[in-house]
Amino acid sequence: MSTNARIEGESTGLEEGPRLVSGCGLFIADLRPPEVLHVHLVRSLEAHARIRSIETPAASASPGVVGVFTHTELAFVCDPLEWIGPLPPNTRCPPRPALAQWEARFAGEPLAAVVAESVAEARKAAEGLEVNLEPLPGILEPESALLQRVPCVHVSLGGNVAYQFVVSGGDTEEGFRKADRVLTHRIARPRYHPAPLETRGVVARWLESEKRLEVWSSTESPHFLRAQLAGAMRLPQSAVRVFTPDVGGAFGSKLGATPEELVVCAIARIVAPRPVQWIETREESLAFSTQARATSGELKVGVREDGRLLSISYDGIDDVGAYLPIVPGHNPSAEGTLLCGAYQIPAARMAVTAVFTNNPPATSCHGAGACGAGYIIERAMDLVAAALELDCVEVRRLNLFRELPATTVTRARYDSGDFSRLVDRAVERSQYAVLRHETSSRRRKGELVGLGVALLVGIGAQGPSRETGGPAWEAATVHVSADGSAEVFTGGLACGEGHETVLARIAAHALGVKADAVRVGRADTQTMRAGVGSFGGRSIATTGSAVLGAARALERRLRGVAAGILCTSVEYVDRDGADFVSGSRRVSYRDLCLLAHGASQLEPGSSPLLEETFVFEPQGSTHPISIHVAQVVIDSETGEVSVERCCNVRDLGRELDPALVEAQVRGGIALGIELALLAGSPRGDDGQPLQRTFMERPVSRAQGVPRFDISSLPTPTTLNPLGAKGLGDTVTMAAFASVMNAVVDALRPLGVLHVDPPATPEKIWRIVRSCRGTGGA
Amino acid sequence: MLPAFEYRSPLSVEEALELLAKYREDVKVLAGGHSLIPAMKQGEVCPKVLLDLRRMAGLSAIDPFEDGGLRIGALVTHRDLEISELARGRSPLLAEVASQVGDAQVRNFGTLVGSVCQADPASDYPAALLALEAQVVVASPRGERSVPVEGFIQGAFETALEPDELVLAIDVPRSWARTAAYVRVRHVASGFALAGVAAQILVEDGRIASARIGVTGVAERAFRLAVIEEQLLGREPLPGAFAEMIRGVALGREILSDGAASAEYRSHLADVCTARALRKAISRIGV
Ligand SMILES: Cc1cc2nc3c(=O)[nH]c(=O)nc-3n(C[C@H](O)[C@H](O)[C@H](O)COP(=O)(O)OP(=O)(O)OC[C@H]3O[C@@H](n4cnc5c(N)ncnc54)[C@H](O)[C@@H]3O)c2cc1C
Repeated sequence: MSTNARIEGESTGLEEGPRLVSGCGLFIADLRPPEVLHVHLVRSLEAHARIRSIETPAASASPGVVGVFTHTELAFVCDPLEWIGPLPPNTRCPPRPALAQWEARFAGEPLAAVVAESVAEARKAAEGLEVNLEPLPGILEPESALLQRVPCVHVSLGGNVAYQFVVSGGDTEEGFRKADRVLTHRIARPRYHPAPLETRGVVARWLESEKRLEVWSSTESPHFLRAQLAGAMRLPQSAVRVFTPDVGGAFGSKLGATPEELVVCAIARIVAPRPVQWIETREESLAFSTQARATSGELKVGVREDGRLLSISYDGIDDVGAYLPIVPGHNPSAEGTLLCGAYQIPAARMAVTAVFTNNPPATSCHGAGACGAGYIIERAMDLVAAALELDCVEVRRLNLFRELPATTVTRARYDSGDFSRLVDRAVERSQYAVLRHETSSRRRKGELVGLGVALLVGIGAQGPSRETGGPAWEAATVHVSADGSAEVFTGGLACGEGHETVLARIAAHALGVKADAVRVGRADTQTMRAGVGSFGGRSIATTGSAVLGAARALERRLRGVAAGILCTSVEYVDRDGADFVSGSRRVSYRDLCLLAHGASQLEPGSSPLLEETFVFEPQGSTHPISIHVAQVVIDSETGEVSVERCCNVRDLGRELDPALVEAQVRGGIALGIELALLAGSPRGDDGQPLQRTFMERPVSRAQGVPRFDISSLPTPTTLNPLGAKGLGDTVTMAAFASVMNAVVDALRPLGVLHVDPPATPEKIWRIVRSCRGTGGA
Repeated sequence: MLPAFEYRSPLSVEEALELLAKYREDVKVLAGGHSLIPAMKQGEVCPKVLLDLRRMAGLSAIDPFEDGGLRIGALVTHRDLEISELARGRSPLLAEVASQVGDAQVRNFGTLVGSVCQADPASDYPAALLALEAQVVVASPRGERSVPVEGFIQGAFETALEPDELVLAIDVPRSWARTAAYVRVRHVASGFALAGVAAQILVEDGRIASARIGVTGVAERAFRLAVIEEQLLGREPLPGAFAEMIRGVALGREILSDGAASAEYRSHLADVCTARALRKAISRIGV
């Protein structure tokens, strides 16, 4: 009986689980290098202002202060952050300075850095800094960014457009002409900060004698960070090493370098040899850090009387804030390809103009932005159902792709899955017919109850690079030491998802050893010399496939060595447990590794280094699918929405570790509910953030979510050898969209056709009140 | 990040009062720490000395008075109130409020007295304490005094406490068990009250003989609904019978407004919670 690792199986969560849940994780704030200095950033209190002066002497004289830095001092050692490589089409990306030079472009932009022996001393000293700002008119509403004679966020660009894209297929105009009905609605999603449990942070140290920079960062992409920092620090990439400790959540907000990382590196160079640390406060995180983009636009659907969609379009404005986030593969147009969702629609068009505003920079959080399109199409389906008085499941069934593989008119190719089966399963598991019936009878008693469905097609692992616009590959190295212990290195890392467990198991399986013989190294640009990172839903599908490739190649090498030892040729070498056997001869795995390192046993020309590197690049994007049914009830007097039921069915391809997947599904649903009911980053009319602590920023809590019914109908993808489609935020967005649909459904009897997220109590109360024309009671 | 401070943990009231007299504005009393510590982390208060009450004897008890009232010591936690048979029996309203504060961790640390001393306008207790006409027992080098909660809480985060004074307990008079209820709407992020209403009614011979209603969360400080209390007298306690008189109960006060709720919405919630609290209290008559 073999005890070797199987590639799929019951979760052990053994690699990182105990470490993380027992408080033994090593996060950026846990690093306490000796002699470390602390940075406190002084930020703009104005959304848009000219910097008249920053007087530093008083702060510099404060106890414990080592230095106070503004743009002028840092300019000696660094340049602004810039886009790396060719810009995506129709994109303008102004350089982003470490510290603002002439102008502050959003409330929270770093203006000066105080460096001291302790955080407390740095903060205290910062109070003595005299910042003289002259407020300027700013752009806070994205719609106003495109008007004539408005201020420019970046004067050098001569306008506020950051990028534009159009993704289209078929003739949408003709579709609208042929349609029996054309429905239009303005829809919007707000900006919000994804609020990872761990805030950002960075430690840097300059080694003058070696002219090298060492950086520790809570990042999703160490190699990309290295490239950006090296560029801005005027160093070759080979002189910069980025280490990643444990990362406590990211959701897209830790992708790419931001001024904070650059400030710390620049100061480290100045104050060398002392290391320098900056840990983002919760307030900085919630109020000033990279947020999720806001979008608003017009949705238009052309539909036949029988419920078939002929055409769909979305014409929107996105708010990217003051600077374009510089992230690898930043490709908002990916969203456009998913506009048709699971449906066979003859014509579709998504046109987006992204504008600079005097708000904090914003990026694609949760599902690489791709899931935004899923929300649009799923709202469209419900608008159609409402207009034609059809059941929302029926409308979806009518329009589904009957068979996969299929390619949408916007050229998204779905390689595997069965939409109809997923819908059937969700209808069955949620007892949809019973719920509908119950909803009607509760409505008759005056309750505002609603049922919502959403079928989300997301993007997991993107590829290939030539189509996605950013690097879509990942590299992995597997190394076996003389004692047989194996190490895996990749360019990716985990943000709490459990990748170490799964990657170790993949490698162990391919090597034919037990999972505990394999360790997964921390992301480090020196041990793994090239890589892309962990974002979207790429890690297991892409990084995992790279690990599999490397481990398989290494196993072939080991067989070759075994063949030499067993005096046979490689095709006659078999595995028995971990041992290598040929006929009655046998060499144990451990002995083999030891012998292989002793060069005498080697074939001439082969290497004693038992190591293989493999690069995997998907030849198409995977599309995880999730269907969600939610039931909500609204308190008509207070506007409070409670989610009463959640049923989720998913096809994420092959699930290597169902328990870890389910943990993410549960978390994803809770997050989806949060996005629907709670999350938004409201700012005052002056651009000041209104959420600075968790006393203001609501999050999903255990008491606010119902029991979930979750199940899986996996169909392996053919786009990678593991068959995994990845999770992305497909489940999250399905839960989000279905809860929004349920909220609208609950308000339907009052004549409501659409509600923008978040469905906060006061907003819902106002809607109910205006529909009823009374005090809402 | 916590600023530096000196930590003292006296064993007796005398010792505590001496320290308060010595350090005055520089000292802060520490009870459950669930308001004070977050405020220190935010840099809102920076005491030089923390005076921890938790080693002091005699402050953790819920003591019965002979007339049916209760004395609730300064270290009695929300959780103690929630589960104490004595508190539940004699002042179910207070126990009901306690059970709704924060989450289990908060309830295990935070204290009733700490909450009253904090005087957070969104805190849950004041509604009930006003309806119950509770008294705050204050000690100082000048001796002990009793202050009605109504006068003790003077505004948002403002109390009648002098720097050298310590609250020993809160006295809750005998209440008419069970014909009371607390209803609130939570702030979506903090869980504190956007509006919270505690109602207590006494029914004699099928008519309302007395009513007391306290409202919290809506204005800078909690308040009583004196007019409605008056109007209820002599009425039959029928659920939903008073809808017409509950319109704009908070009008005329400066109503709080912030990112989570506008003044208009809060004012509306005050009406909703008042109606619901009355309905719930009435539904408990004879239970
Ligand atoms: C996450 C969270 C959620 C919460 N949710 C709610 C909620 O839903 N509803 C609600 O009402 N509250 C809520 N609270 C507040 C909680 O109830 C606090 O426990 C309470 O407000 C303060 O009590 P404490 O014992 O922790 O006091 P501390 O924080 O120790 O002290 C508070 C203040 O009172 C002073 N003080 C304390 N005791 C005395 C004394 N004996 N004499 C003189 N001064 C004294 C202190 O010096 C300090 O200024 C929440 C708190 C947290 C952290």
